[in-house]
Parts: sequence; structure tokens; C-alpha cells
Amino acid sequence: MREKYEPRIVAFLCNWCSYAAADLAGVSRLKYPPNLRVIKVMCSGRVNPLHVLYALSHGADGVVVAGCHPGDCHYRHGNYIARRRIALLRNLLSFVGLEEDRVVLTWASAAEGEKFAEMAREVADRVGKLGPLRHPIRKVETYD
Amino acid sequence: MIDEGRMREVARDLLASGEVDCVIGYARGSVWYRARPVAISDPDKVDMLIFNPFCMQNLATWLKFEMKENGGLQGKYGVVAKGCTARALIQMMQENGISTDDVYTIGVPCPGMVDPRKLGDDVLAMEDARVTLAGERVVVEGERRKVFSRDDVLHETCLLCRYPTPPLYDVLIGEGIEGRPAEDKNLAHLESLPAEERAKYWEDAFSRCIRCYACRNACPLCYCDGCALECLDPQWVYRSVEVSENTLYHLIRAYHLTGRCVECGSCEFSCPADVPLMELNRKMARDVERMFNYVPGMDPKAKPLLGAYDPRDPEGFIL
Repeated sequence: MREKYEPRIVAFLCNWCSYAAADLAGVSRLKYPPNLRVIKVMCSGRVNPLHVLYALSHGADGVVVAGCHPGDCHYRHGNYIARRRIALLRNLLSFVGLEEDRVVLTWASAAEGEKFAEMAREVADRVGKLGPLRHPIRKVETYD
Repeated sequence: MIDEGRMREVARDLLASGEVDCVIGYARGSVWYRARPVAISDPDKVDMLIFNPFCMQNLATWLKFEMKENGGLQGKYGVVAKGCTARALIQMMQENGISTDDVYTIGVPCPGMVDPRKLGDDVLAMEDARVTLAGERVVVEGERRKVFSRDDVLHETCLLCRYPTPPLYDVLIGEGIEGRPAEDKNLAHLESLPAEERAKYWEDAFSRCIRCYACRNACPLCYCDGCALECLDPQWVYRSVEVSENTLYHLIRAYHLTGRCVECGSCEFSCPADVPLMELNRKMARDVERMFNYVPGMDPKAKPLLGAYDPRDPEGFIL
């Protein structure tokens, strides 16, 4: 019998806020699903849409990009840049028939451990409902 | 169409006075329904220059080739520029790909280019012919005379063109014409389909791709030195012809042109596999305009779309 489907989600967390939020969620012993595979980046503005496409192609069912709240970016405007990029990327994905809700942009400050845990639950639930990614971008050998 | 004599005169003066070192323009191709790009540095040879409804190539691409070949532009170039060529040049200037001083824009208002494939084999079989655009009609005069409707034989990208006249130029041959874009029915239709059907549509399209990189090469704005599509370390996308690699390739290409594509249609025109690349580009261009009120290739001093931001950018999608 097959095990229950668990979505694979790649999460790009920014060093200054979101990663600290994840840390806080852990230290505070908050419960959230273990579907997120965290990749620490220095800034959400460092996340190239290419990284997101690559992740989706190589086995991720969803991608999270998380950064500091607008105005709080350690590099002043990296998160604003990420906002434009991800907005357009989601449109492009939707246009080629890939559910754009698999790509999530979110803000979490270093104090928002609870918000981070809630986001992780929400994303795991959302991607879990969409099921495994079935789209031509996905490499066949990564199918379960 | 424009006054070719005047264009040649301008080119001759520019070359003779030393204002430019070279003029990039169009010459007659190997058959009557083709034009080819030509680089002229001798003022006596300017009579080669033509401008007819088959000058589809975006000459900014040939400036790119010059740049690639010589590691930068040597001297100043005069470029015969339709609306889309001029916009590509402006976009390159905006990104500091070329300097404003490198180029002298010989602007030509463009009534649209005829797609030879749409004329039919019997017309193309003619030994020689002259094609003129007159209002809504396209007249082919050769051994036989044949009249087409403009809507039937122009490239789709030309029918949808909004900027037939260069937004900026150093000299304009003739008078500017207003764009009168047709309704983009294909895009509206695709957007109205359910997601699964769109995925199917693009799977069909991308699986036809033979990964010849012609779309990348023909694009005037794909001039980066380290192209992500051929980078080996890290290798983002493999060269193998396979649908998931093709999809990744095309999405990366489309995204890299987001907020930059000037919709000249060179990629689609050069595609041997009939991948509807312009539908991707147009979709992104319309979104960019709707969401960020930005049209690329209009102002060399504008900030690049994805290198700038506005605190009021749309954020309804953020979780």
C-alpha cells in the first residue's frame, strides 16, 4: 500500500527575517508539518525565478519564497524586487497551465514564529490538496 | 511604403561625412520574397538598400552579432530601424548594452511585414514580383497580379503592432504612422481555457521544439555574455531535447524577456518548429503593462522593470 502523499516544498528563507522566524518557531516548539525543505538565502531578492522553475522541474511540488516585511529589508529593497518577480512568475506559470498557488511569496519577521508555523501549515495543506505536480516542466524520473 | 531614394540619400550622406562607420540595412534577398540584412561602409554601395514588405528581420540583432563578434561595437553604426528595431535599440541603451553614441537611428515607419508563407505556393512560384501595401490591401504584381487582404498575409505580430513608428530616431524617413493593433484573439482564447487544456497546449508546443536556440539567437535582446541557457556551471537546463527540458528552456527564455520584449516577432519568425513563442512574450508584456504600467523600449532613461520597484506594486497574491 502506498504511503500518504506528502508534498515536497522548497522554501527559500531570507537570512534576516524569515529564517529567524523559522528558528523561533522551532525554539518555541510550535507544531508544523515537516514538508518544507529550507534553503537559506541572504535575501528574498536573491531568489532568481530560475531557482523556482528549477525546483519545480526537479521534484518540488511547491516553492515558498519568504522575506522581510516591506520596508524592513536588510538590503533596503530586496523584498520589493522579489515581489515583482514572483508576481510575474506566478502569471507565467498559470499561463502555461501550472497551478500558480504552488508558488508562494510571504513575509515573516524574526518575531513571527507563530505566523511562520501557520504559513507552513497553510502551504502544506494547499499543495497537499493540489497533489503531486503533473506538468510538462516536471522531469519524469522525479514522479513518485 | 517609404521613399527608398531618400533612405539611400541619408545613408550616403552619413557614410560620406564620416558621421557613421557603417550602415546596417536591408538588401534584396536570394528570392523576391526575402530580404537580407546588409552592412555597408562604402557610400557608393548604398543603392543596395531597400525597404519592402519582406524586411522582417530586426536589425538590432545584427548589431548584437557585431558586438559578439568584436567584443563590443567598433565605431558608430547607422541602423535602418522600424518601430520594433528602434524599440530594441532603446531597450539596449536602457540596459547599458549599447551606448546612445554608438547608434544613429534611421527611423522608418513600418506598415507591417508580409509573411511569405501566407501568400501560398502558387504566388511564391513566380519568378519575380513586386509587393506593395496599400491601405487594407496587399498587391502582388509579377507574371500575374494578385490582391490579398492585409489581415490575411501580414505576420501576426505586425497585425498586433502598436508602435510601427520608432519612438525615438535621429532621422525619420517619411511620415510617422499610428499603430492600429488588431484584437489579440489568440491570447484571449488561451487565457479563457481551463488550466489543464493550457498545459496540454503548451506541452504540444514545447514538445515540437528541437532546441536549435534560433529564438535565442534571433532575439535582439538576448545579448547577455553568460546566457543562463547555455551555462554549464551551474547547468540550469540540459541540452537534451525532451519535453521537461524544453519547457524549462522556454519558461526561462520567456521570463528573461519579461519587461524587456519589444514584440518584434523575430523569435517566432525564426522558429523552425512553429512554437508560438510570441504568445508567451505577449502574455507577459500585457501583464507587465497592466500590473506595472510599463512598456519596454520607449525611453532609454527609464529604469528596467525588474530592477526597480514601487512600494505600491500589487501584492494581493502574497500569503
